Amino acid sequence: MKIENKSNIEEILMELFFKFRDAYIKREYLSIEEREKDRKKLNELYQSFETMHQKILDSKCYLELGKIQQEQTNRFLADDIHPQQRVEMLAYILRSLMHPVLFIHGKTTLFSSALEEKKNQAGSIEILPSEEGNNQNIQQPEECHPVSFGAEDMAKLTQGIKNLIQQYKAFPKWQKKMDLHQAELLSQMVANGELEIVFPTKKKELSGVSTSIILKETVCQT
Amino acid sequence: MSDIIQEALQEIFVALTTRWRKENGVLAIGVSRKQLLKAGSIEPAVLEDLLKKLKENISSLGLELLEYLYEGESWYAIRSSYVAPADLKSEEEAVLAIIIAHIESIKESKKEAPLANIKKKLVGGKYFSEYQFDRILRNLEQSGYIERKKNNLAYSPRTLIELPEDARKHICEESSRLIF
Repeated sequence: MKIENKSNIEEILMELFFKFRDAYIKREYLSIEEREKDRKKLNELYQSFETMHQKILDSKCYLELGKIQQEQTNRFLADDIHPQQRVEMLAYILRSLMHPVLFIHGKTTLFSSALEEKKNQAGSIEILPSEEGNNQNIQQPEECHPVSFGAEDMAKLTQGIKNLIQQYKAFPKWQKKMDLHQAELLSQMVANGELEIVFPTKKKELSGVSTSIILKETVCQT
Repeated sequence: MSDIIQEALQEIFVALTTRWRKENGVLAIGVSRKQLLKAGSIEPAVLEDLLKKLKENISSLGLELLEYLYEGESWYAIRSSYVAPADLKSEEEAVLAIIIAHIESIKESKKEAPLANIKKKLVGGKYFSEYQFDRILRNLEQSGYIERKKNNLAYSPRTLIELPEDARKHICEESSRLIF
């Protein structure tokens, strides 16, 4: 009896396993009722398991059942999305993974006969001459060169600031003459140690402070 | 770098990125080694050296030179190292994705998917009309993405170049979730 029961359990398990596997491969639809019925059967069989082989078969059945569940759930959720939208989504996925081949000559193509062998040519790129008559009419366009700001220009600016400060010794005087950009540059010169400005103040909270920020704030406030 | 080598690199670059069609009307992807040797009248060693220099030069632009085998011959092409838009329309991308999904799900070594199955899914599933499907398929073939082998569809080099293996597998998984 024991042997019969054992083979009966294994037959049932094998039958369920192949049923689930075929349904998954062929993408057949199994209703929720049917799946629940099979799952209940598996659950009831569990108490009768004796060998490892039966337990393994049981696990395989659950695995296949799980795959069917997952696929049918995906299908159920995807049904809510219009088919055209799903096509667009798939197109987007492909587009987001593509590393396209480079063509830099646009959509038109040459025929293979147009790619001729390179004959004995001098190693230079030939520039085709422009049409006659146009040369005279076309004026040479004005050439623009980028303006560079070099060390010399910076030195001129900083010297200008130094001259301004030396000329008007009192702070309120050169403060009025200076614009915001000059004040900014002055702050930088003080910050990097190029200049030191001693500004006596009665405010105790500023005692011992040496920074260019205060100088800029003072300049901006006026 | 001497002027002659510089010019040679420029010409190779232009050759590799030219759009041209083979005798069967299908877009060629890059240029074959034989053609490069013939066109440049150069030795293989010189070509190797030039290609190596070209590879180094273009890598900083986000491009990579690659070599692939097609019908027993070596071909060279340049592709983007990064993801970028291709010249396919949205519907063509979707059909290509379905074809990829079908081919990737085949466990045999011969990677060909029956055309009838793909047509049944897309036309039978009312995603496309028969005319649309045939037109898209023809465009994909002419653009060098797929090739017909009797009643099956197989990859052409461009698909394998533009979509690495892990990308194709991902597309296969996503396709099964979206297209029934």
